[in-house]
Amino acid sequence: MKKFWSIGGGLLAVSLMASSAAIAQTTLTMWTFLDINAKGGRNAALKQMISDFEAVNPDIKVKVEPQVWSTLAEKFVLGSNAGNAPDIGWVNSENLGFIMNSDAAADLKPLVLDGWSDQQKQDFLLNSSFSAVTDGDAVKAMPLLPSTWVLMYRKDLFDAAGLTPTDVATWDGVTKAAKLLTKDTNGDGQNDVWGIGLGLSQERFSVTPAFLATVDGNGGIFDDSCKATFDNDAGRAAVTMQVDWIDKDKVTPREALAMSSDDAIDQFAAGRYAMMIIANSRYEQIQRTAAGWDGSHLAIAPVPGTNAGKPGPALLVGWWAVQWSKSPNQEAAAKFISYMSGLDGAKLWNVPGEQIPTYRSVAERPEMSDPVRQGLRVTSEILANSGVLMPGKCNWGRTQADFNLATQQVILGQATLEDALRQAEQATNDRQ
Amino acid sequence: MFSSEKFTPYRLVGLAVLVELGFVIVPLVIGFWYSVNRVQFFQIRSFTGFDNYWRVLTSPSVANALAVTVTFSVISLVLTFVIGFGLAMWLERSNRLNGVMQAVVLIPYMIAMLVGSMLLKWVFSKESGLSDLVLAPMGMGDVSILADPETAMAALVYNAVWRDSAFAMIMLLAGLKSIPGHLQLAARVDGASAWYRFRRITLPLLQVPIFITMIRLFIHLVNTLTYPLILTGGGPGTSTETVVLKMYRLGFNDNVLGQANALAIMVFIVNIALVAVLLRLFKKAGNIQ
Repeated sequence: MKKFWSIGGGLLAVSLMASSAAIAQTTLTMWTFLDINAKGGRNAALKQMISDFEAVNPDIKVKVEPQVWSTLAEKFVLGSNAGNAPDIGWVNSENLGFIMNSDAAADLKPLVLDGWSDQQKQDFLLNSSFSAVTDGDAVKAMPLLPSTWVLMYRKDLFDAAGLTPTDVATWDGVTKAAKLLTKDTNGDGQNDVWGIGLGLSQERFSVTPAFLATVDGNGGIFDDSCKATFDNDAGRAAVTMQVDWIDKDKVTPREALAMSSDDAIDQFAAGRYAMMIIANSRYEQIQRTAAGWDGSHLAIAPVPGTNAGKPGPALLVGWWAVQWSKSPNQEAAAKFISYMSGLDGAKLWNVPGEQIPTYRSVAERPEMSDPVRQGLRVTSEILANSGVLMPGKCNWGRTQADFNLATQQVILGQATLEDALRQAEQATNDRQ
Repeated sequence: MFSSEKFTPYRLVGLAVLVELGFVIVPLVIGFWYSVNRVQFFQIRSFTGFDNYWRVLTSPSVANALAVTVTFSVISLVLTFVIGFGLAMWLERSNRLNGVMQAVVLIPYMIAMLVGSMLLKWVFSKESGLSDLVLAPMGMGDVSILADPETAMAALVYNAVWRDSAFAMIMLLAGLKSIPGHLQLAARVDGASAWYRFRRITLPLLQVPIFITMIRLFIHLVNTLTYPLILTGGGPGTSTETVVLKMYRLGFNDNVLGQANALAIMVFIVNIALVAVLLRLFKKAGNIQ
């Protein structure tokens, strides 16, 4: 009997040790710009997501390695070339070209998408976005945090000037409204509030009206082979519009030439501009940091169109998850990507992450009716009505800077409109 | 076998050679290999020979960057040197006030380059900076320093002079301190004026430190990235886009690593030439001593 207990006890101990070794046998590494130890809705959402995932999958641990957002795609591809990329990486839309033109990313169709039920697929709002990341039959990335650019404006100034959002439904309307809104409020001979803000620097740039107007008027900026095609009437009209705002209409300060997108957003929050094209993800930040005006007057309108009756393009961009093609943990990595992009993940990205819902059922939750999510609701509607995808294979990450340079060169007399746009197009083509 | 004395020199220099090999030669060879290939999205696509070099050499934007670099480097060099020399002459005498002044002058040099340029960007910014407070009362409220090509270049030069004058001062002060005091005293006894002593004693004996300072400054100014990247972003337009900023953009923004490395190799050759001049000066200094 004693021998029985000894052997039985020994076997139990061995099996317990073996099972504990089985638990936590896979550690996934993920590169993202989020930091789960920092404050903020998205960070909290990811932290909760990892905690929930690990509870359901005790044999998988997720290790987050925060990275600088602007170089995530490059580092992922370089890491893959060197044989030490993380299991999962995050890539922004503008840099999908790195993923689509390399063998760094695994095909997520068999690993993730084929595991989705028909109901989940029907509930998912971003099915069309897969066209940007599909190469043949392979799907190279999963959308996580969609975002877009919208026209943000100050409702208090609009009300005072008798303007409504329909007045700024076209770029011509924006110009007229901007003239009304540009004011010298203290009579010192200098404008204190400008009609529309721009950040035209070539560093820390973002999408500007000229870029959006070109995409709208031209039906995109690339042909099927990723050759840039904006050195034409649509491109010239769009750049001329920005040039005129500064030179002729005087509704944008000349300082815009030296401002980054962040500088211009700071100025908008400081009450210096009445309107500006800004990424929707900045809505809450601007409301919070508004100085000299009540942030609750911040409002969102669709991107103005070139022609009346049709809104401008709401570029569907944001963050995507990719899986390293040579990851030794293919199955576990796919499982976590599926979780992050699935319904449970989407709920957390929405609240507390404060991100645009990616599932219909998430968008219809009572939480979305909360007045604090007004910006998210409006942006979701804009995306649903006028969302436009940029081709994932084409490198357009710096084309906005090319438009900025073209605008600057024309204003400074360093190039004619035709030459400036031709150079911008050439610069974009050189990056393909 | 390797413990014998005849291998001692090899053991002593071996580590240095390995470090040099790992951190200079290997990257240089890789850089050269990239420069003769078409590199797209960090993947080598095809061998292109010297096509990247030709493209860089015939690129109008690189030609513009070269002109900007020469303008910026030469003006900055002259002003930095003159101010640094002036400060060194002024602060040569050792007393309490000069000690405090030396510390004050050194402050911009002690501040991290990046932080200094960011501070100046705020100062020169019209919308939120201090410059408008100074310029507006003088009827120049419309002047936007960083949005005008000429004033943006002036701001860039100011950034360099503001920070690097202290470096010039340190180098030249060391040179001044090394001039034997009895030479100046003897000249005074002989009735030589201050200007005469400066021309006939100080300047000739400072010849080597002056050249070394100028070459060292020139190498720094030609290669500096922080000032144009942070302060002006190369703008407005391409008015302040230097060769190094262009190289950075080709490599890290445009991701055309082939062209970026071709430009880098050419800048490297220029640097080697400047270093060769510097080494000759050091050799000359050694001979004098």
